[in-house]
Amino acid sequence: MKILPRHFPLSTKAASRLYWELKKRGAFCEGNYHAWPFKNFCDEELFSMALLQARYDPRLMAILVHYFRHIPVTLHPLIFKESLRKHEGLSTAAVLGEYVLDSKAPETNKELFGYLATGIKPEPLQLFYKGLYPISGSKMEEAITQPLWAFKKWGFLAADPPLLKEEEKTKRTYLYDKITRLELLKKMLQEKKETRLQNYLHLVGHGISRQQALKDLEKVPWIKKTGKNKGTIYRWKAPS
Amino acid sequence: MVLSGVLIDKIISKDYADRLVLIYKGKHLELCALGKEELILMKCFAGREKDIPHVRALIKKNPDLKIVDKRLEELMNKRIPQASKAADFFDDICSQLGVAP
Repeated sequence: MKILPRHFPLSTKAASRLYWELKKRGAFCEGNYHAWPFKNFCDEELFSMALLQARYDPRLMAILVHYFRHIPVTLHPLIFKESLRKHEGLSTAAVLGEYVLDSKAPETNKELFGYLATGIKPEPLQLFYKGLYPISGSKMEEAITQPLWAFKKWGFLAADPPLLKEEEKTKRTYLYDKITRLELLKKMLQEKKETRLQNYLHLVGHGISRQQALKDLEKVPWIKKTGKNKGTIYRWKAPS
Repeated sequence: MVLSGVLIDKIISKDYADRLVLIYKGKHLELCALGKEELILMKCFAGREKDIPHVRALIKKNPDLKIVDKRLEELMNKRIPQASKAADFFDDICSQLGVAP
């Protein structure tokens, strides 16, 4: 059976089988074997299916990012791109690609995602995860007010980086673009009135260097700097 | 253990042992897991996108939501960091599922 939009989101059993298939290919996940209607799948179609399902399952997105960052793949670029194009999954692959390209992933994987993203236009602005957020809930607000750069670039809004826990802690991943970073900073300063460099770095998930953080803090007109070196405090300067 | 900057032993209530679930019983060893209510509490504090489907699935397994709600209120009164964010997260999902704590 071919993959059709009506198959998504996958049923619990089909999702478990998908996890099982991914595990067999070396992904960091567990699943169970269940019968499913999709027969004679090539790997390119399986990964297309995983990418389409990732729009409903944030954990699967993180598993796929982890997989393509660590396991060298031998997917046929033309077949994979054609399969993704057919199922309208190219922009999802482009988002995933941002996290692969921003890592020490195997070169073949980087080349694959570079190729997949070539010629792709961003989607009209929309939430990345379908049916996930409670309407007008706090998480939806977070996705809209603090969108992650890699998603925003391709027209999507999402709140949390699709990274497994150990990667979140050990590797620096660029999360927010400058506009979003400054919005976050403004909000924090309006609430707390003052901050230090370390607090700002923590706020942006340590996704930028110290130097970039200093540049951000020193170039906005609504911040007053006092003190020197480690003792520097950045205070909110209300517009006159 | 630290979860989003808050110690887990500060999040779960003292009577958590009443709700432990036995997952393995050997000759000399018994293993228990936290109950559904404690898992929901911890997931609400983590508050990530990937926790939303998990909390939804746990709520569908009929936990005592009043325990969760009461604990969140206690933590907010104690001014535990992120407790109000966790409570918002929990309320949003409950209203999405049409269940009342």
